[in-house]
Amino acid sequence: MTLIELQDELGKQIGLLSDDKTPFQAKKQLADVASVISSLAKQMINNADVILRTEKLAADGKLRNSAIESLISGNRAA
Amino acid sequence: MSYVRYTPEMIAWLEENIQGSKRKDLYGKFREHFGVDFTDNAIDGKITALKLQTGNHHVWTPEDTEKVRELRSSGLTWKQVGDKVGVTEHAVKTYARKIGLCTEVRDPFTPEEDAWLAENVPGHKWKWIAEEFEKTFGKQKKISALKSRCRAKYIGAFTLGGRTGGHKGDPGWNLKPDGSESTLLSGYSYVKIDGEWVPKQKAVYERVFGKIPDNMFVVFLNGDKTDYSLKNLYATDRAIHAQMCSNGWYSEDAEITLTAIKLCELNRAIRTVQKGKDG
Repeated sequence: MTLIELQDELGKQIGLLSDDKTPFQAKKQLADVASVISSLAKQMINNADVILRTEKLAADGKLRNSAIESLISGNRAA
Repeated sequence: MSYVRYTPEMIAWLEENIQGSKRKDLYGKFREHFGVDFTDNAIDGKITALKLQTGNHHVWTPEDTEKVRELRSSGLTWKQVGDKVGVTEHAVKTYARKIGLCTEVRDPFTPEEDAWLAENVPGHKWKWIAEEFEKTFGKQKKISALKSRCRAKYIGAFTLGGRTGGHKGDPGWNLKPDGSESTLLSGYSYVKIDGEWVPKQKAVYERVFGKIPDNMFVVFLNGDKTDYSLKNLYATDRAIHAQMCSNGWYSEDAEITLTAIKLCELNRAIRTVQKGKDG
Protein backbone atom coordinates (compact mmCIF):
# COMPACT_ATOMS: atom_id res chain seq x y z
CA MET A 1 0.00 0.00 0.00
CA THR A 2 1.35 3.41 -0.95
CA LEU A 3 1.08 6.52 1.19
CA ILE A 4 -1.48 7.99 -1.20
CA GLU A 5 -3.66 4.88 -0.85
CA LEU A 6 -3.24 5.13 2.90
CA GLN A 7 -4.35 8.77 2.79
CA ASP A 8 -7.50 7.72 0.93
CA GLU A 9 -8.19 5.00 3.50
CA LEU A 10 -7.69 7.41 6.39
CA GLY A 11 -9.96 9.94 4.71
CA LYS A 12 -12.60 7.23 4.27
CA GLN A 13 -12.40 6.28 7.96
CA ILE A 14 -12.68 9.93 9.02
CA GLY A 15 -15.73 10.27 6.78
CA LEU A 16 -17.39 7.21 8.32
CA LEU A 17 -16.72 8.34 11.89
CA SER A 18 -17.92 11.88 11.22
CA ASP A 19 -21.04 10.93 9.29
CA ASP A 20 -24.11 12.31 11.08
CA LYS A 21 -26.36 9.66 9.57
CA THR A 22 -24.45 6.73 11.08
CA PRO A 23 -25.96 5.54 14.41
CA PHE A 24 -23.74 6.04 17.44
CA GLN A 25 -23.50 2.30 18.23
CA ALA A 26 -22.33 1.60 14.68
CA LYS A 27 -19.78 4.38 15.04
CA LYS A 28 -18.36 2.71 18.15
CA GLN A 29 -17.77 -0.47 16.14
CA LEU A 30 -16.25 1.56 13.33
CA ALA A 31 -13.96 3.26 15.83
CA ASP A 32 -12.50 -0.12 16.80
CA VAL A 33 -11.66 -0.86 13.18
CA ALA A 34 -10.34 2.68 12.72
CA SER A 35 -8.06 2.24 15.77
CA VAL A 36 -6.41 -0.77 14.12
CA ILE A 37 -6.01 1.17 10.87
CA SER A 38 -4.59 4.06 12.87
CA SER A 39 -1.87 1.93 14.48
CA LEU A 40 -0.94 0.46 11.12
CA ALA A 41 -0.87 3.91 9.58
CA LYS A 42 1.36 5.19 12.38
CA GLN A 43 3.80 2.39 11.71
CA MET A 44 3.75 3.05 7.96
CA ILE A 45 4.45 6.75 8.49
CA ASN A 46 7.34 6.04 10.81
CA ASN A 47 8.72 3.49 8.33
CA ALA A 48 8.44 5.98 5.49
CA ASP A 49 10.21 8.58 7.60
CA VAL A 50 13.05 6.16 8.38
CA ILE A 51 13.42 5.31 4.68
CA LEU A 52 13.45 8.98 3.73
CA ARG A 53 16.08 9.83 6.31
CA THR A 54 18.17 6.81 5.36
CA GLU A 55 18.08 7.77 1.69
CA LYS A 56 19.12 11.26 2.59
CA LEU A 57 22.05 10.04 4.67
CA ALA A 58 23.03 7.56 1.96
CA ALA A 59 22.95 10.34 -0.64
CA ASP A 60 25.26 12.37 1.59
CA GLY A 61 27.62 9.38 1.78
CA LYS A 62 27.24 9.06 5.53
CA LEU A 63 25.92 5.50 5.57
CA ARG A 64 28.76 3.40 4.17
CA ASN A 65 28.64 -0.16 5.54
CA SER A 66 25.82 0.78 7.87
CA ALA A 67 23.49 -1.81 9.39
CA ILE A 68 20.43 0.38 8.80
CA GLU A 69 21.00 0.35 5.05
CA SER A 70 20.97 -3.44 4.93
CA LEU A 71 17.90 -3.48 7.18
CA ILE A 72 16.01 -1.22 4.81
CA SER A 73 17.21 -2.35 1.41
CA GLY A 74 17.47 -6.04 2.37
CA ASN A 75 21.07 -6.33 1.15
CA ARG A 76 23.80 -7.35 3.48
CA ALA A 77 26.32 -4.63 4.06
CA ALA A 78 29.72 -5.47 2.68
CA MET B 1 26.72 28.70 40.86
CA SER B 2 28.68 29.41 44.02
CA TYR B 3 28.73 32.91 45.47
CA VAL B 4 32.16 34.33 46.31
CA ARG B 5 32.16 36.20 49.62
CA TYR B 6 34.96 38.62 50.45
CA THR B 7 36.02 39.17 54.01
CA PRO B 8 36.96 42.68 55.27
CA GLU B 9 40.60 41.48 55.35
CA MET B 10 40.48 40.56 51.70
CA ILE B 11 39.02 43.95 50.76
CA ALA B 12 41.64 45.74 52.83
CA TRP B 13 44.38 43.67 51.16
CA LEU B 14 43.06 44.58 47.70
CA GLU B 15 42.91 48.29 48.59
CA GLU B 16 46.45 48.10 49.92
CA ASN B 17 48.02 46.16 47.07
CA ILE B 18 46.18 47.45 44.02
CA GLN B 19 48.35 50.49 43.44
CA GLY B 20 51.07 49.90 40.92
CA SER B 21 50.25 46.23 40.40
CA LYS B 22 49.38 44.55 37.19
CA ARG B 23 45.98 42.97 37.50
CA LYS B 24 47.13 39.50 36.38
CA ASP B 25 49.87 39.48 39.02
CA LEU B 26 47.48 40.77 41.62
CA TYR B 27 45.00 37.91 41.07
CA GLY B 28 47.74 35.29 41.65
CA LYS B 29 49.08 37.05 44.74
CA PHE B 30 45.57 37.37 46.15
CA ARG B 31 44.84 33.64 45.75
CA GLU B 32 48.23 32.73 47.20
CA HIS B 33 47.85 35.08 50.16
CA PHE B 34 44.40 33.90 51.18
CA GLY B 35 44.60 30.31 49.93
CA VAL B 36 41.38 30.64 47.91
CA ASP B 37 40.52 29.56 44.38
CA PHE B 38 38.65 32.69 43.27
CA THR B 39 38.71 33.13 39.50
CA ASP B 40 40.30 36.12 37.76
CA ASN B 41 36.83 37.30 36.76
CA ALA B 42 35.58 37.12 40.34
CA ILE B 43 38.47 39.20 41.69
CA ASP B 44 38.21 41.61 38.78
CA GLY B 45 34.51 42.04 39.48
CA LYS B 46 35.23 42.87 43.10
CA ILE B 47 37.91 45.41 42.14
CA THR B 48 35.45 47.07 39.79
CA ALA B 49 32.72 47.03 42.45
CA LEU B 50 35.09 48.65 44.95
CA LYS B 51 36.07 51.22 42.28
CA LEU B 52 39.75 50.54 42.88
CA GLN B 53 42.35 51.72 40.37
CA THR B 54 45.71 50.13 39.67
CA GLY B 55 47.16 53.55 38.96
CA ASN B 56 48.67 52.16 35.75
CA HIS B 57 46.24 53.77 33.37
CA HIS B 58 47.30 56.87 31.55
CA VAL B 59 45.33 60.02 32.25
CA TRP B 60 45.04 61.93 29.02
CA THR B 61 45.58 65.68 29.24
CA PRO B 62 44.91 68.39 26.61
CA GLU B 63 48.70 68.59 26.18
CA ASP B 64 48.77 64.88 25.30
CA THR B 65 46.07 65.49 22.72
CA GLU B 66 48.15 68.16 21.01
CA LYS B 67 51.26 66.00 21.25
CA VAL B 68 49.49 63.01 19.68
CA ARG B 69 48.15 65.22 16.89
CA GLU B 70 51.59 66.67 16.16
CA LEU B 71 53.41 63.34 16.28
CA ARG B 72 50.88 61.65 14.07
CA SER B 73 50.86 64.49 11.52
CA SER B 74 54.67 64.27 11.38
CA GLY B 75 54.26 60.84 9.82
CA LEU B 76 54.99 58.56 12.77
CA THR B 77 53.23 55.22 13.12
CA TRP B 78 50.80 54.66 15.99
CA LYS B 79 53.38 52.49 17.74
CA GLN B 80 55.98 55.25 17.55
CA VAL B 81 53.44 57.81 18.78
CA GLY B 82 52.58 55.51 21.68
CA ASP B 83 56.25 55.09 22.58
CA LYS B 84 56.78 58.86 22.61
CA VAL B 85 53.74 59.45 24.81
CA GLY B 86 54.53 56.51 27.06
CA VAL B 87 51.52 54.30 26.35
CA THR B 88 50.84 51.23 24.23
CA GLU B 89 49.87 51.39 20.58
CA HIS B 90 46.42 50.08 21.49
CA ALA B 91 45.93 52.79 24.11
CA VAL B 92 46.97 55.62 21.83
CA LYS B 93 44.79 54.34 18.99
CA THR B 94 41.80 54.00 21.30
CA TYR B 95 42.32 57.57 22.50
CA ALA B 96 42.87 58.82 18.94
CA ARG B 97 39.59 57.22 17.91
CA LYS B 98 37.87 58.95 20.79
CA ILE B 99 39.09 62.38 19.72
CA GLY B 100 38.40 61.68 16.06
CA LEU B 101 42.03 61.53 15.00
CA CYS B 102 42.08 57.88 14.03
CA THR B 103 39.31 56.95 11.62
CA GLU B 104 40.80 53.75 10.26
CA VAL B 105 38.56 50.69 10.59
CA ARG B 106 40.24 47.87 12.48
CA ASP B 107 39.18 45.05 10.21
CA PRO B 108 37.19 46.32 7.25
CA PHE B 109 34.74 44.15 5.34
CA THR B 110 35.81 43.33 1.79
CA PRO B 111 33.39 43.44 -1.18
CA GLU B 112 33.50 39.62 -1.26
CA GLU B 113 32.48 39.47 2.39
CA ASP B 114 29.64 41.93 1.76
CA ALA B 115 28.44 39.80 -1.15
CA TRP B 116 28.61 36.68 1.03
CA LEU B 117 26.58 38.40 3.75
CA ALA B 118 23.94 39.55 1.24
CA GLU B 119 23.59 35.97 0.04
CA ASN B 120 23.68 34.15 3.35
CA VAL B 121 22.14 36.44 5.97
CA PRO B 122 18.48 36.22 4.88
CA GLY B 123 16.77 33.29 6.54
CA HIS B 124 19.67 32.27 8.79
CA LYS B 125 20.36 32.67 12.48
CA TRP B 126 23.15 35.04 13.50
CA LYS B 127 25.05 32.28 15.31
CA TRP B 128 25.12 30.20 12.14
CA ILE B 129 26.11 33.23 10.06
CA ALA B 130 29.02 34.04 12.39
CA GLU B 131 30.26 30.43 12.29
CA GLU B 132 29.97 30.12 8.52
CA PHE B 133 31.63 33.51 8.05
CA GLU B 134 34.60 32.31 10.07
CA LYS B 135 34.75 29.06 8.12
CA THR B 136 34.56 30.85 4.77
CA PHE B 137 36.92 33.77 5.36
CA GLY B 138 38.96 32.55 8.34
CA LYS B 139 38.04 35.73 10.24
CA GLN B 140 36.31 35.79 13.56
CA LYS B 141 33.61 38.46 13.66
CA LYS B 142 31.29 39.22 16.52
CA ILE B 143 27.58 38.88 15.83
CA SER B 144 27.21 42.56 16.72
CA ALA B 145 29.82 43.46 14.07
CA LEU B 146 28.00 41.39 11.44
CA LYS B 147 24.68 42.94 12.39
CA SER B 148 26.19 46.38 12.22
CA ARG B 149 27.60 45.71 8.76
CA CYS B 150 24.26 44.34 7.53
CA ARG B 151 22.52 47.40 8.91
CA ALA B 152 24.95 49.65 7.07
CA LYS B 153 24.53 47.73 3.82
CA TYR B 154 20.75 47.15 4.16
CA ILE B 155 21.18 43.37 4.11
CA GLY B 156 18.67 40.77 5.34
CA ALA B 157 16.15 42.10 7.84
CA PHE B 158 17.75 45.51 7.43
CA THR B 159 16.68 45.91 3.80
CA LEU B 160 15.03 49.17 2.90
CA GLY B 161 11.36 48.84 3.66
CA GLY B 162 11.95 45.73 5.76
CA ARG B 163 9.99 45.17 8.93
CA THR B 164 12.75 46.62 11.07
CA GLY B 165 12.36 50.09 9.55
CA GLY B 166 14.27 53.04 10.91
CA HIS B 167 16.44 53.71 7.84
CA LYS B 168 16.55 56.83 5.78
CA GLY B 169 13.79 56.73 3.18
CA ASP B 170 12.15 53.73 4.78
CA PRO B 171 8.43 54.28 5.24
CA GLY B 172 8.29 51.61 8.00
CA TRP B 173 6.32 48.38 7.88
CA ASN B 174 3.13 49.93 9.25
CA LEU B 175 3.03 52.56 6.51
CA LYS B 176 3.49 50.13 3.63
CA PRO B 177 0.71 49.96 1.04
CA ASP B 178 -1.56 46.92 0.65
CA GLY B 179 0.06 44.17 -1.38
CA SER B 180 3.51 44.77 0.11
CA GLU B 181 5.50 41.70 1.00
CA SER B 182 8.04 41.17 3.75
CA THR B 183 10.15 38.15 4.65
CA LEU B 184 11.27 37.61 8.21
CA LEU B 185 14.57 36.06 9.21
CA SER B 186 12.63 32.92 10.09
CA GLY B 187 11.92 32.54 6.37
CA TYR B 188 8.16 33.15 6.59
CA SER B 189 6.76 35.78 4.25
CA TYR B 190 3.92 38.13 5.09
CA VAL B 191 1.72 40.17 2.75
CA LYS B 192 -0.28 43.23 3.66
CA ILE B 193 -3.97 42.83 2.94
CA ASP B 194 -6.53 45.46 3.98
CA GLY B 195 -3.96 47.04 6.31
CA GLU B 196 -3.07 43.79 8.07
CA TRP B 197 -0.01 41.62 7.66
CA VAL B 198 -1.05 38.02 7.02
CA PRO B 199 1.13 34.96 6.36
CA LYS B 200 1.60 34.65 2.63
CA GLN B 201 0.73 30.94 2.61
CA LYS B 202 -2.60 31.77 4.26
CA ALA B 203 -3.31 34.47 1.70
CA VAL B 204 -2.55 32.09 -1.19
CA TYR B 205 -4.66 29.32 0.33
CA GLU B 206 -7.63 31.57 1.11
CA ARG B 207 -7.60 33.06 -2.38
CA VAL B 208 -8.38 29.60 -3.79
CA PHE B 209 -10.30 27.79 -1.04
CA GLY B 210 -11.97 30.71 0.73
CA LYS B 211 -11.47 32.05 4.22
CA ILE B 212 -10.27 29.60 6.85
CA PRO B 213 -11.50 29.77 10.48
CA ASP B 214 -9.49 31.84 12.96
CA ASN B 215 -8.27 28.77 14.88
CA MET B 216 -6.71 27.27 11.74
CA PHE B 217 -3.51 28.04 9.92
CA VAL B 218 -1.74 26.89 6.79
CA VAL B 219 1.32 24.65 6.88
CA PHE B 220 3.90 23.79 4.23
CA LEU B 221 3.70 20.03 3.67
CA ASN B 222 7.28 19.67 2.45
CA GLY B 223 8.68 22.18 4.91
CA ASP B 224 9.83 24.55 2.16
CA LYS B 225 8.67 28.01 3.23
CA THR B 226 9.07 29.36 -0.27
CA ASP B 227 6.96 26.72 -2.03
CA TYR B 228 3.47 28.24 -2.31
CA SER B 229 2.07 25.65 -4.75
CA LEU B 230 -1.39 24.54 -3.64
CA LYS B 231 -0.36 20.88 -3.37
CA ASN B 232 2.18 21.97 -0.74
CA LEU B 233 -0.30 23.93 1.41
CA TYR B 234 -2.69 22.43 3.94
CA ALA B 235 -4.95 24.11 6.49
CA THR B 236 -4.86 22.58 9.92
CA ASP B 237 -5.49 23.56 13.53
CA ARG B 238 -3.36 23.86 16.66
CA ALA B 239 -4.40 20.50 18.15
CA ILE B 240 -3.30 18.61 15.03
CA HIS B 241 -0.18 20.75 14.77
CA ALA B 242 0.72 19.89 18.39
CA GLN B 243 0.37 16.15 17.69
CA MET B 244 2.44 16.46 14.54
CA CYS B 245 5.20 18.26 16.39
CA SER B 246 5.25 15.93 19.38
CA ASN B 247 5.55 12.90 17.07
CA GLY B 248 8.13 14.61 14.85
CA TRP B 249 5.98 13.94 11.80
CA TYR B 250 6.62 17.14 9.86
CA SER B 251 8.72 15.76 7.05
CA GLU B 252 10.52 17.05 3.98
CA ASP B 253 8.30 14.68 2.03
CA ALA B 254 4.86 16.20 1.45
CA GLU B 255 3.16 12.77 1.23
CA ILE B 256 4.48 11.67 4.62
CA THR B 257 3.37 14.93 6.24
CA LEU B 258 -0.08 14.81 4.67
CA THR B 259 -0.58 11.16 5.68
CA ALA B 260 0.47 12.00 9.23
CA ILE B 261 -1.95 14.95 9.38
CA LYS B 262 -4.78 12.69 8.20
CA LEU B 263 -3.79 10.13 10.82
CA CYS B 264 -4.01 12.82 13.51
CA GLU B 265 -7.43 13.80 12.20
CA LEU B 266 -8.56 10.17 12.33
CA ASN B 267 -7.26 9.81 15.89
CA ARG B 268 -9.29 12.83 16.88
CA ALA B 269 -12.41 11.38 15.25
CA ILE B 270 -11.82 8.07 17.09
CA ARG B 271 -11.39 9.85 20.42
CA THR B 272 -14.58 11.81 19.84
CA VAL B 273 -16.55 8.58 19.31
CA GLN B 274 -14.88 6.79 22.23
CA LYS B 275 -15.66 9.65 24.55
CA GLY B 276 -19.28 9.09 23.68
CA LYS B 277 -19.87 12.31 21.85
CA ASP B 278 -22.32 11.70 19.04
CA GLY B 279 -21.50 13.42 15.73
